[in-house]
Amino acid sequence: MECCSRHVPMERAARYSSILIERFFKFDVRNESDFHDWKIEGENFEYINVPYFELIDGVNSVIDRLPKEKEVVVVCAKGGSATFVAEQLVEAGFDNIYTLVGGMKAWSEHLHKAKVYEDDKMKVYQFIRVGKGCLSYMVISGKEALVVDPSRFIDVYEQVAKEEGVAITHIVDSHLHADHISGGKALAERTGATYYLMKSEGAVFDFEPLEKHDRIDFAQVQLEVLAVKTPGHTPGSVSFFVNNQLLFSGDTIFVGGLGRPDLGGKAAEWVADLYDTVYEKVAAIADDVIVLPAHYANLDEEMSKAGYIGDTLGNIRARNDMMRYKQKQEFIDIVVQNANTETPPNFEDIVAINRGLKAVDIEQQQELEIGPNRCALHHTR
Amino acid sequence: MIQVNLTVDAKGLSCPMPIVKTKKAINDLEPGQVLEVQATDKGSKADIKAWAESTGHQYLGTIEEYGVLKHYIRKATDSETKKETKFPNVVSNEELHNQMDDPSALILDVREPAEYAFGHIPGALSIPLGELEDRINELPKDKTIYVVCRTGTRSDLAAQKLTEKGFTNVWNVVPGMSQWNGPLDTAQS
Repeated sequence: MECCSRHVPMERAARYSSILIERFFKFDVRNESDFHDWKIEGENFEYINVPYFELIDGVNSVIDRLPKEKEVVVVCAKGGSATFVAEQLVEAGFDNIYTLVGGMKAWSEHLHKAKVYEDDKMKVYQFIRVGKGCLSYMVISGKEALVVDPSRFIDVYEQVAKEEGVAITHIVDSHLHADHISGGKALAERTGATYYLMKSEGAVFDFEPLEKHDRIDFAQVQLEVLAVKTPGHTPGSVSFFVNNQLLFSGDTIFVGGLGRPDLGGKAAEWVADLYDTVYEKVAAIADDVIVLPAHYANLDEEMSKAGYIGDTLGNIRARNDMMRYKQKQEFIDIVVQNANTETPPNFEDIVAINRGLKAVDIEQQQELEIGPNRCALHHTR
Repeated sequence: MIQVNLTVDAKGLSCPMPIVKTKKAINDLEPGQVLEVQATDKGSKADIKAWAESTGHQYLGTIEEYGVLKHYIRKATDSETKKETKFPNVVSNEELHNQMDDPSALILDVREPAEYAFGHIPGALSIPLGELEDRINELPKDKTIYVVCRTGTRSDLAAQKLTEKGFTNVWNVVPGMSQWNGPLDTAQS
């Protein structure tokens, strides 16, 4: 069979992911249950789902359901089946067929690098995990780099550090993650960087407890990193306030919501912490500070004009009534009423791995992380 | 070891090849025969199951041994979907459930060994329909024999065969394992 399907290169797919989502008609050839569990989502979403194994003898059953004018991207789990189906469609006369290279697995693992900020003291990159909605960061100052909430794809951060000619010296996790496996420990082992995490989050390996640090010291005096304890999403959640300009807010504040306080099974206790965090600690931070969270829910809505996920604290507060004018009991009642009953897939296993209580191989890590992110409370809409 | 009619090696192959090979192989089987598909692609389990459901073949189960997934599928048969049975002595699943502990009763499971392996009535003797004639001496003549299969069709034929060979106290269990709500043993954990 001649291969003549075009591929959507991942880099392009990620950079223009909003375009990918809007411009392409999606033809998902995975089995129906995998498709319903987790798929590429977006506004103006057009797709059909027919499993590839129903198309082994030919694609006649679907050709009437695919557009001829609009570009079609064929999506599968790892890429092979999409190519198999795409080749048949091209043979059937379609000239508008693309495949998603590496499938949903690559979609889940790809990190897109966006520049967030640069002045004469520091440069900040955001790494957008498009398929999962996770965000991590690198703050570069002088010859040192701080990595915030690294994903397990640690070679990406090492590569960027190399390109920038800096050493990764500090790594922080804003909290114990429940939706993805942290790369913090592995990256610290590879680079010799100091890895900071709140001891109260329950990790059992060696790290530098943030309980002992209100600030993280860099060799460069220009970079001031304050570790602001912001409990709520988890009791040991920390936000990092850099040079009074940027707030790495972890899962405490998102562009469109607040971190959900119910994943630990103690919603009533943690939601009171969340209230105090928002109405005492965050209320004291200025409106022009840029908030850089650990997740987003909707790429199109939450992406700034500059191409990264984030907004000023003033804008976020203005849109979110939950961050203003609420009495404590009212806040608690609303959060409890709106509690999402769905938890992130496999979150108990992922939490155990991030605490160092459990170790699994790469393949199992991939399996555990497959699926949507569900860490936010979206009660702002 | 689960006895099968044909084994397909799809180890090391990724999607869509395990299903493509499965589909090809199943064409070479007679209806009712069992196929084993060996694969290493983890995604093959959900896909084989979904494919079997969409095509009407019977997905029996999957076991994992040393990183290899072994999927078992029984090729669909037309006759089993028709509910025609000829053998006059019939008991329901519930009646059999009540007789299970009777020491003078023997449950004979005439499904394929792979079907038996993924779930059978505790204590049931496994002799596939195709081997019944050769192994008929294994059966005691002084016991009540309840013959069971998936839907009651193969057990109907087996019951007729037993009567022909001089067994007098034979009952066909209808509908059989497809609707069995009682206790189950599996060869696989």
